[in-house]
Amino acid sequence: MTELERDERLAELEAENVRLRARLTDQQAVEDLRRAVTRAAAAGRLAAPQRHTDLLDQIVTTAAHVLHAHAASLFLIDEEAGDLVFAVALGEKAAEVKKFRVPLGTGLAGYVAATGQALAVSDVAQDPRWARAIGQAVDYHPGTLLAVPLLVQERVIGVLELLDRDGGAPFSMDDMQLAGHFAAQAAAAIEQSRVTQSVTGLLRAALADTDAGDEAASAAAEIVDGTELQETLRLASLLGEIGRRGEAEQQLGIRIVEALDSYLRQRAGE
Amino acid sequence: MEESRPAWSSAFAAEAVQPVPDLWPTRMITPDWAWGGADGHGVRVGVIDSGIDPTHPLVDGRVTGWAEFSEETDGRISERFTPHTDAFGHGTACAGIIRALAPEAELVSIKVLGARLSGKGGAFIAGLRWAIAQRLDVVNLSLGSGKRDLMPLFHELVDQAYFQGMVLVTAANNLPAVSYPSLFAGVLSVACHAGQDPYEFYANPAPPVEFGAPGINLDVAWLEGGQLRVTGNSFAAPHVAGLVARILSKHPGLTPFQVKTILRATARNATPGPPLSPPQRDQR
Repeated sequence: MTELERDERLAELEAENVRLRARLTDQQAVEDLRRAVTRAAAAGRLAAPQRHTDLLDQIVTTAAHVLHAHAASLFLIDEEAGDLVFAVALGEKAAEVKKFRVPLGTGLAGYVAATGQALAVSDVAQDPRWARAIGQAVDYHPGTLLAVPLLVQERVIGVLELLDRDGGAPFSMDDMQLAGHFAAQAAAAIEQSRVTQSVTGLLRAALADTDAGDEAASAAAEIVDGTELQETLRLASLLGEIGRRGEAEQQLGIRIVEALDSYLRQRAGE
Repeated sequence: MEESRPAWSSAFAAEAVQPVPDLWPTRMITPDWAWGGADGHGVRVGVIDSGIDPTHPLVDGRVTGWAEFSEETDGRISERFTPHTDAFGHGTACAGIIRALAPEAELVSIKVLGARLSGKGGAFIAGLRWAIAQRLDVVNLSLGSGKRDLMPLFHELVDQAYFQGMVLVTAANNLPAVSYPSLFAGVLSVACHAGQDPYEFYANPAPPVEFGAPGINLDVAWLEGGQLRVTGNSFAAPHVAGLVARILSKHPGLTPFQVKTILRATARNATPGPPLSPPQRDQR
């Protein structure tokens, strides 16, 4: 990849990141709601996860390609269990590596997760923790490593790791910056998906004819508390009430949301 | 949208380094005058990080103070003052770099990383506050926090350290993101350049990052007595911390302001300005 292509790719990534972040808060929430209702009602299950995993796969694959890395992983922090879980793993030993959980508070990825600081290492196999934890188990001994944090506002939610740069050259500070953009994209995608999933879950419960709907609604309210999805929640609550009256009313609810979406789009001049 | 910032180390790429004009009298400040023959003796250097392994050959056993802070689940900060281990290897790496530049300095390990995911920054704040109370001479902070809530607290502590004469050396973030306290004027903020000579450093005419020191493909001390070849601003900061320890051992009692003046005058890209001329007499 030439420097020009690299710069262009960087610009594209930045634009994509802005778009993804904006999607977290703007009127798009209505669109998410409409899609969520349609899917939840039709399939009776949560929507987004499949798409979300694909997107993360795609981000990590592109990062590995652009940065000439032979292997790559995306870890997410499981705060309750106190470890890092592989969300995506690419490379020769990906399937085996994915079985591992990396305890927080140790290792190179642990350092990045704890500090939010990116780090490049030229000879990972020399790190005794890495070697014992994963290297020996799957017989993979990477040379170079680049690890950058996934940040959502001020919080670290995961770590993007790229391994074994082409030709054995160490990852540079420029690579670190570029990887930071991919990590930002992954973080925005994950956060968006979490919000969408919480809304989807809420709607599914609200549409079911049980009292559990209210419980789920307040749980979801906590998740999205402080975001601009408060209005979405009000809509969901109303929709739940309509849905409980019967299938016809439920369909009516969906049509109302679709109409509202269409109205908002017209008003926005789309 | 988050604030966009430059990648700090780019200012120190070989083709990007700009000369920084200095005052003419500061040409009397030379590296030899500043730290020649000094070894860090009598200077206490704190390392706020993941702990230090004192048995590592590059650390050489001489860690004279221990403190460990961690945040409990209820938000309470627990503290211990007994020798500890290094959770990641990073603190030992920083200690080894400082030791190489100031072999006789006393190292104090202030562990704030490792036990739990210290995302809340409370342990970090507690460690810095303790270092100030101990009146250490130099403190290396190869970590930072992006939490805006903590900004006023960091600001207060940095001012306190500055006024009591403690030199805080901080690593700039490796990514273009906000990081406290490295953005404050009261600290020495450092990013990395590609050189390997530990005495090669540059001044940056465009702060908040004021100095560039080695931090790319360096062999540093790591876990279990081993070494690792690493890249990051966090390895540049301890180079400056070690150098400051040497300067202070030769010139005890300098203020952070004076230390900055000396570093700027001895930076590789410093160019002394023209002699100061007396004010022109009014010809009327």
